[in-house]
Amino acid sequence: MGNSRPPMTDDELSTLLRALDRAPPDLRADEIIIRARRRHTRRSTLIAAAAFVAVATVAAAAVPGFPLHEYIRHAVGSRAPKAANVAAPAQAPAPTASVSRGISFVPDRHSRIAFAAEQSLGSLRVHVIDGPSLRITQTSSDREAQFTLTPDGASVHNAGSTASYEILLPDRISDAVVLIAGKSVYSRIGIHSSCSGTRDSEQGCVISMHRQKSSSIPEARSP
Amino acid sequence: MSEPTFDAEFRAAFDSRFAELFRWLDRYSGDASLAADVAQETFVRLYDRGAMPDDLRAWIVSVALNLVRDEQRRSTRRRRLLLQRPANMTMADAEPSPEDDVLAAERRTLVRRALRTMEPRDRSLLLLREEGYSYHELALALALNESSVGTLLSRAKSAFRDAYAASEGAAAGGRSDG
Repeated sequence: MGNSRPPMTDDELSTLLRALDRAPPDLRADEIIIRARRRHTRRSTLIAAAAFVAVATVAAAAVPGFPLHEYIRHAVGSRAPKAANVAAPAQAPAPTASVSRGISFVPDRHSRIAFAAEQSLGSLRVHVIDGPSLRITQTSSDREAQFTLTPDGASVHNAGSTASYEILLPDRISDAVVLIAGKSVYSRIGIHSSCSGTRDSEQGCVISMHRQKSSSIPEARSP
Repeated sequence: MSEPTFDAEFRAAFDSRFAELFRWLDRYSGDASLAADVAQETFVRLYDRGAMPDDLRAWIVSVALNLVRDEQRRSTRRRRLLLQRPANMTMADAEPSPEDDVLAAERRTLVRRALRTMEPRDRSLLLLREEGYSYHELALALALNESSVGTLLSRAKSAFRDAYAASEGAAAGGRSDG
């Protein structure tokens, strides 16, 4: 009756847990490798297609004589009110500027974001958000950096810039690393993140873009 | 493109850790198909990574836990490759007698019920420790202070014992009522 039984020992606890065990699936490492490679090929193709569309869009916006530009102008112009057509030439340079101010993509695996150089000024803020896209934006108007997609993330060519940046990481990313001039300044494994800067009130990681001290964070991959 | 050395490292990691990861995920979630999916996806991501993490076991658990949360949030699960082999998903106990079978099934139900009542962190701690994780690895994998792992683990064990006793009591009460 009652609680006369002695307390459960660690061995008994282990025995109870072992009672739950089922045989693992019969799977070989080669099957995982094949699946990972297939996915990698698919993703590379998507990146190439996305890069082509981005280049074509920028070219269409920037080059007046580009055929796609003409096509878009006609397509939009035929539906737009007359007043919009009149106002358009005064704002012509704007689209090129806005395209080069950031990059956004949907990552599905490890992401590596590499800033090519340290800067004499500027900061970087990394914030985890609830959403599917990874976004890198230049948040101050300055000499502009160039953003490019890479097979495992993105790189920012920021040599000579003094701008500040923001990276919005989707919370579903389970393995991400941010590097400045080859040094890891932020990493995220699962839900855990390491920040070499300071945390702001919204738990964003704010890192100075200049003079990165050697970080104790293990790097995901050598630059 | 992975170098041959990484492929060899990956194969060794898979051979030594896949079964352990599946077992832990199955105990943690109580869902064999979820455990199989997540274990597989974790190793796909490890291969994608192209380099072994500094602490493989902690990395695996961090990624797997995150995937479990994602999957549970979505609730609709992709069932792929692994479920083409349902014959392998049977219970590990070999040829039990009908009475043993009933008792074992009852015990499994009680253990699962007890685990379900625990806080996710306590459950992770208890089950990972059962897989032989060191305090250092537990601290890394679950983002805990290493010096507090012992205390938290002790609490997790107590929580399990209490929950199991409560489940047993409830089951015994149910039987005597019937």
